[in-house]
Amino acid sequence: MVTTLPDTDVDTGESTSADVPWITLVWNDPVNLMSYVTYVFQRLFGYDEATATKLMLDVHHKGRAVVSHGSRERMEHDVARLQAHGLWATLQRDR
Amino acid sequence: MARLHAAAGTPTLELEDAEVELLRGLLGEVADELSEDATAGPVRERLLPDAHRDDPELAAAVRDLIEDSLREDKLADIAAVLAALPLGAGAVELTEPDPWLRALNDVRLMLGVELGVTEDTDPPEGVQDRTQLRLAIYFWLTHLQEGMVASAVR
Repeated sequence: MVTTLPDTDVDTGESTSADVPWITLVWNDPVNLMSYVTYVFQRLFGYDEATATKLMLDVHHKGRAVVSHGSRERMEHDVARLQAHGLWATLQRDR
Repeated sequence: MARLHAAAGTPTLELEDAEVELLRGLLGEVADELSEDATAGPVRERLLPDAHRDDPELAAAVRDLIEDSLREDKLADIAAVLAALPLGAGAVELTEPDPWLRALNDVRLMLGVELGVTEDTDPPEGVQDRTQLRLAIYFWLTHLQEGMVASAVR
């Protein structure tokens, strides 16, 4: 069986600013279709339909949702992939 | 009207002559917005948004890293759809729906910004002027994209 390491940073006990993980956010916008946003979450992150739908509804009702977390480099990658699909994605430190 | 046949096998999009021309024109408009020579404006800001909401320095740093490839990806999607479109009326098999979904979505984003579309915007009652025409096109694309997503997840 193939297993993959989780994306999250390992807690080394002493927290410096470099250890603070980053998050990718998707913001609500009036153009992107709910079905399309759900589809993109499934395609890009491998979420099942229920998880992708829940995230999409969070974006729709709360105005934004955290769709991934990890190192800054990974979040830059995720932002680029989401923006390539026309979703309004940003990154920031998770605090 | 464009018809999407998706009951069995590869979804097929049947387009009229005028619809092919319309799509070519709209995709060209998005490509123009993405060109490096184009002046920045709200449409381009929506197609290539800041990667941070309120840290312009961080947003600029991320832009330096991702914008060139993002622009190339979007232009490649447009090129793929343009290459797949029939010459005049005809049908096109959507063997790879993702470039279509992304490119049509970018057209909708462009029109949405241009027309100030909100979640409460309704289709126009009639088509008397350019704004109403563009809005009608926006809703036509919405319908088309909705069908494509449905056939892609099937």
